[in-house]
Amino acid sequence: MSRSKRSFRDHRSAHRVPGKPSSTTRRYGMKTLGLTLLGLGLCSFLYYQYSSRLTARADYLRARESLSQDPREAERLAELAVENAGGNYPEAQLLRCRALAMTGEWEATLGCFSLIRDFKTCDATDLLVLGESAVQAGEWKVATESLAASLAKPGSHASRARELLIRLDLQFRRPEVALQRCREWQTAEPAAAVPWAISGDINTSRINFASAMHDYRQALQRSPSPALQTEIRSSLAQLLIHTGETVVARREFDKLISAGPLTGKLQLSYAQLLRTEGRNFDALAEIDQHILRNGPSSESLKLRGIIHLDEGHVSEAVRDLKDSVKANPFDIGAQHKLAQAYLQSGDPAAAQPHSDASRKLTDATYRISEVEAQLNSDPSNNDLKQEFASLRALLGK
Amino acid sequence: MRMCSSRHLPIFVAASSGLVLLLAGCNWGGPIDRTREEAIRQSQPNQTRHYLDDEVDGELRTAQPSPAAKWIDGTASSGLNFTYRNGLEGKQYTILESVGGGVALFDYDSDGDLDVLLPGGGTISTTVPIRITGLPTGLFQNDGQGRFTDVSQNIQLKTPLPMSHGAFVSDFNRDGHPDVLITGYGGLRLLQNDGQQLVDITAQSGLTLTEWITAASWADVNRDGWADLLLVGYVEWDSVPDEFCGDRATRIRDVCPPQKYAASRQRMYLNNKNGTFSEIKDALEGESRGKGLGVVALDLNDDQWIDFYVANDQVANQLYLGGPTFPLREVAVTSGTAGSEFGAPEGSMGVDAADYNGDGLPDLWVVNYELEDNSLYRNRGHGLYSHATVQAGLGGLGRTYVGFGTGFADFDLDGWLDLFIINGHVLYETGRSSYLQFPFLLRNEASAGGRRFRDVTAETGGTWFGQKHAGRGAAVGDLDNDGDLDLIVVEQNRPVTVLYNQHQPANWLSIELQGVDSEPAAVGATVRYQFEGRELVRHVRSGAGYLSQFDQRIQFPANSDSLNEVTIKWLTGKSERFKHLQRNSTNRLKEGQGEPQ
Repeated sequence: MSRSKRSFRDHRSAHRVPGKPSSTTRRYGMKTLGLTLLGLGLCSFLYYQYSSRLTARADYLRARESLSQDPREAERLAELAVENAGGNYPEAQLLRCRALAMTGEWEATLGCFSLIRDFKTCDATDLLVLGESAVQAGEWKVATESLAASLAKPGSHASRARELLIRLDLQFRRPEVALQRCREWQTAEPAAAVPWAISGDINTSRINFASAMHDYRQALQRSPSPALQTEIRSSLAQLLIHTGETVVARREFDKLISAGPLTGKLQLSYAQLLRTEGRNFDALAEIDQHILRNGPSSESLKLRGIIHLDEGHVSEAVRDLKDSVKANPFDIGAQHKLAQAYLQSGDPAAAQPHSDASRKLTDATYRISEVEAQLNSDPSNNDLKQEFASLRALLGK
Repeated sequence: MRMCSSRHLPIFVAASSGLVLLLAGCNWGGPIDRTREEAIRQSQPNQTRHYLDDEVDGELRTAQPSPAAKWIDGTASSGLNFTYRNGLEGKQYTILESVGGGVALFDYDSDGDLDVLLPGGGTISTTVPIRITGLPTGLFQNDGQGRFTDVSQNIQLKTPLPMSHGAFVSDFNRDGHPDVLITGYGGLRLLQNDGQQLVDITAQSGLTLTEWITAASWADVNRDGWADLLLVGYVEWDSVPDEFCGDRATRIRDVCPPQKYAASRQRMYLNNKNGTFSEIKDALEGESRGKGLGVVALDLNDDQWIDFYVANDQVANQLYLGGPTFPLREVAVTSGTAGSEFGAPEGSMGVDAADYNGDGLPDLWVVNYELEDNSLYRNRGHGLYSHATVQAGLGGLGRTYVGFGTGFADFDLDGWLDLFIINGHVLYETGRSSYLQFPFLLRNEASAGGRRFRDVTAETGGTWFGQKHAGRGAAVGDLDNDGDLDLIVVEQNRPVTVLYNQHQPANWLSIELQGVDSEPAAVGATVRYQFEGRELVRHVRSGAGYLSQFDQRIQFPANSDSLNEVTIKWLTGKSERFKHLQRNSTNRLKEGQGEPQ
């Protein structure tokens, strides 16, 4: 092979005219010149691109700097940056969207956001921040897309993005999707307590008690912060009361009490537990303390009234339940219990309106869920819409 | 998969079922396609009872059967081999399948022990139009030791009901032999007992209904000494395929809920004293409709008239107060017994009435659907009841269960009435809780705030109580005449279970009332007995439990200090004292033969 190549060169040299450039040499020079010119052109183009990019980058950085102080200026600079970059500068475009969002121009934000074709170079935190503000503003499309884009990138922002996406799923009544997201989160961050706590809450609201308890327990195993631990344990304890697991609920409450005094609603739940345990006098003391700290509420008065009724303290029951009904006339339980208290005090006439109110509210509660289900399959039905609205009004919603 | 059954299969099943029934005697379940049932059961394994552990977060603790277990599953040795079929093999997902069956305990042959009658249910075709075919009722004779012989051939039933449910006993013709009423889809069957055979006399009795009847209660409503009858139905359902019910998202089909159907009419029949009955129109105040699954009869307010409490599914329960004239007044709402603690209607199934707290007044008890508390209504006198579920330690207990068979019974013979609950879901796969569920034993104990029930299932229940079941009817009675109260439990499509109580008291007193001026079972009478310094009061009731007949005998504890005497107040208002009763055996106390009080 090498031998034959050499032979060919030797053959060409043998035909060259001495003192005159050969046609081959001319062609070679032309080619070199062309290539040089092309190279120069390319260099110029690259330089132009580079300098534009430098300008665009500078604009972008200036836009970033001014974002918190002057979002309008930031928006202008970001737009300039995009222009300077020849229309394709996703980071700057995202920054521009953020600036627009900060000024409350959500329609423009949406338009701006739709121009971003590729989030690869976008900053995950920028996406997250835009998503957060979109969630707050109720701009669901921007929120969903920016958070999903943020989540696609690795980093510490992912937890927050997942949390917000779950919130959106719940907002749009997609608990299954939210639970699936929780499961993904649990797999991605096996040591995190939050996804378990959230799935516990979702399962509680979906009345999947066994799953909810399991999730809360998983959350507690994952060393949550003291504040979160209290929150999770509170949810678990309340769930345990609700499902009749009184003995276990007591132990959870004992742990909560050892961590500090019970406050707010949790104190009322504890009073409920005491009632379930048959410790009515302790329950009354707890409610009294709650009322002293927080002032009376329809809930606290109702519970105290119910316990007085259990104990046969009929006049105290009537007093508390009357006050509870006054504070919230839409509470079925308070209305019913007040009717019972009046009956036990030998005053059926006083009981009647509360019995009627309780029945009416109960019927409305059943009916509204039926109407809601019918509306879901027939959303344009005006009669149903009207009935739904009047039922909501009847129920004080 | 579940919807794509072969069109030829039902023909095969129908053809083969008759053959196998002939060959298999009491084993009615032979030919039925169990694929679906097994699939459901396998997807919800019958694991041991678990409790949430407070010590180890996230872990479940398995409760080991306690060595102190007092209940033995004696099914295998009892000789009682019977299965109730609900027709699930038809894959029609009808509401009919959800009701299930009950059991009647009564001394059919008058030999001093409890025999067992079991409605067999039915089969449902896979084809449309739906064909529902009744399965035979079982009758099992007790040898006195709690062992049974199949004597089902002694039931002369002309045509079985398409789907039988309940069995309710009364000596309606006063011939000294307890007769049986079977309820179900398609009406009733009245079986007259001649001491040897139970003969179908429905056609001549006037009880030729064709509606769906679930529960019934025999009691002397007009106080003429003959047992009358209150019948309750569930819903108005025709045997046409139901629309899709279940989980639309996952396309899992399930049984349709009762709110899809109209409530059924309740009927009162008076005994004509000649083997026939006449319906009394407008015997009940109000609409006299409900979605009834249980009804208990007794004298709740001590006015010597029979009252009825009806447990309805998803609509308010009804309390009918008897009196000298019709209609019976309906007072559930004003008495506080219509629904939940907060007045909402519940999905009520099993029912009972007894004095749980020792104040002498009969209280009411119903078990309910999941996400609802079971409701204990404490009788406060003067026609008022308070919802005492939470106070009695039962708060939350039923919220993850669907309760069916239930009743008050003094299982440990300490003089206080305990409770049992047999749970099981109506939805095969789409319920919040599972189709198979744990049962409960609840002991009546003292507390600072009054009587409370404690869950002693793990402590005393033994193996059967530690497992999940698709429970329905259950009846309490002393099967082996050893003084303590045993249980027979009916499940959906699973063999009936015989549970022997091993408390075995050293001394006890058993009372069986025989009405003379009152109807024979003396429903509505009250029995008083002194024990450990207090008076135990037992109310003779009819229709307790779920679609079942309890042992009508009353068991009392006895010790060296207790006197062997009781005071009976009959429904007529007369009181008598019966002295020198024999311990550790049943004392038959005939009205008019005691010392007038």
